[in-house]
Amino acid sequence: MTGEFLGDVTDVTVNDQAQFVALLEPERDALWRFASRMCIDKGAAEDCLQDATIVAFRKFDDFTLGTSFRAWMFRILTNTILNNNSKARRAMRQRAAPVVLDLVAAAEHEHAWEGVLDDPDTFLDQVSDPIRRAVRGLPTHERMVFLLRAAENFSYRDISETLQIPMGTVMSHLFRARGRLRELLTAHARDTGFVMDTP
Amino acid sequence: MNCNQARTLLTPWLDDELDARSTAEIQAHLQACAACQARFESESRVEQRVAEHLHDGAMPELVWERLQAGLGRGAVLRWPWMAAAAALVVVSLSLIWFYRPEPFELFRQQVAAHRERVDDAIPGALAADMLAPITAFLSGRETGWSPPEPGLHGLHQLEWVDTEATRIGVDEALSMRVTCCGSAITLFLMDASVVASFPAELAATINKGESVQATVDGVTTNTFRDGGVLVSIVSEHDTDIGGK
Repeated sequence: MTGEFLGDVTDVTVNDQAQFVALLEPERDALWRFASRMCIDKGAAEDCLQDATIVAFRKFDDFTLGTSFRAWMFRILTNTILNNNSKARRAMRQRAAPVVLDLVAAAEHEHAWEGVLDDPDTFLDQVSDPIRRAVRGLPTHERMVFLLRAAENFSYRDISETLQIPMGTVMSHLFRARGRLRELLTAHARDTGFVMDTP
Repeated sequence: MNCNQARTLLTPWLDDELDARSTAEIQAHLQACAACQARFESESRVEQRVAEHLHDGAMPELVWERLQAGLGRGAVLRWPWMAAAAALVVVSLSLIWFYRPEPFELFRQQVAAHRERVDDAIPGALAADMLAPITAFLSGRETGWSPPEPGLHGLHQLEWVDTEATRIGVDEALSMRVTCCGSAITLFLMDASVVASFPAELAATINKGESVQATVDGVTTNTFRDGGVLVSIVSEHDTDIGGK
């Protein structure tokens, strides 16, 4: 009696785990990329992923087959990251304040950015590390939204549902993140002499 | 649509988030305006190249293996009573392999957690806010263990740094940082149920009340069980505080 019962349970567990792993495997690199850029180092990224996958596996019964496992897994991972960072969670829910423009600086910035746009490929061939550093320098909530959009190709709606924030807030974080990145990249273009300093 | 109107829609255009009508208007403008067309193409190219730069880094095989291994414990937690029955029979019949975390992995994680915070250890007195989490952790777990008092212990001068709720792997732990003769030591308290995931021989040693010593990269961990609590002392300094 006990043996039969045990056999059933073990089969269910093993089959469930195999199914979970089969769904997880295609997403492993994306989840790793994302966690690595959201956490302080690779060790913390692994811890975070370990926690998220265990939570996901425990809740696997809640996952509806046929819906996006990727979106479901990212929702759990982003939640795990935000659970360890209450400041970022608060910032995530707030729309970015309007940017107050310094018109002179904005004109210089626009000029430098146009210099980058004259030959984006040549510039971007040189800035692999600066881009990664610049992304890492974004505030947690903006980095999260930006990475979901730029690196993982989530739509605004996907991001809104993953992070449980309104679409308008997604767009404001994204706008601010892109603005900061652009500033950092134009500063790098100036520093390296890729563009001239003044209009 | 003029150039200014078109450029206000640049971001949603790049993100492919415009409705069909706005997309058609933008396309019409871009066909008529070479400057905007060049600008939009360059901005699009930048987005594409930035995405390529961020699309690097495959998950290391070792991490993937550890994630899968971690699910073994997730399975136990998912169906606690069924998994407990399953584990009991599986162990007794030795019919099916069942994942067990390597206990030295736990010691390694404790050493890593100790090292992560070792540099900013500023000693002070054992204050009420350090003691309260310890009391809360010990409460409800049958144990006679209590934190070592600051001060001189033989030739060892003990001072406290802080107390923090943390995790070792997926398990809850309480981390207590102290210094002994100026050297940083971390004491970890964990629920003794974690011993059940150790290999049988090691679990038996600990369950007998004996202390187990392990060295990870030159850092010593001394681990023993006191009732419902597993105590680990992680140290690069020879000390006898609280050990057995």
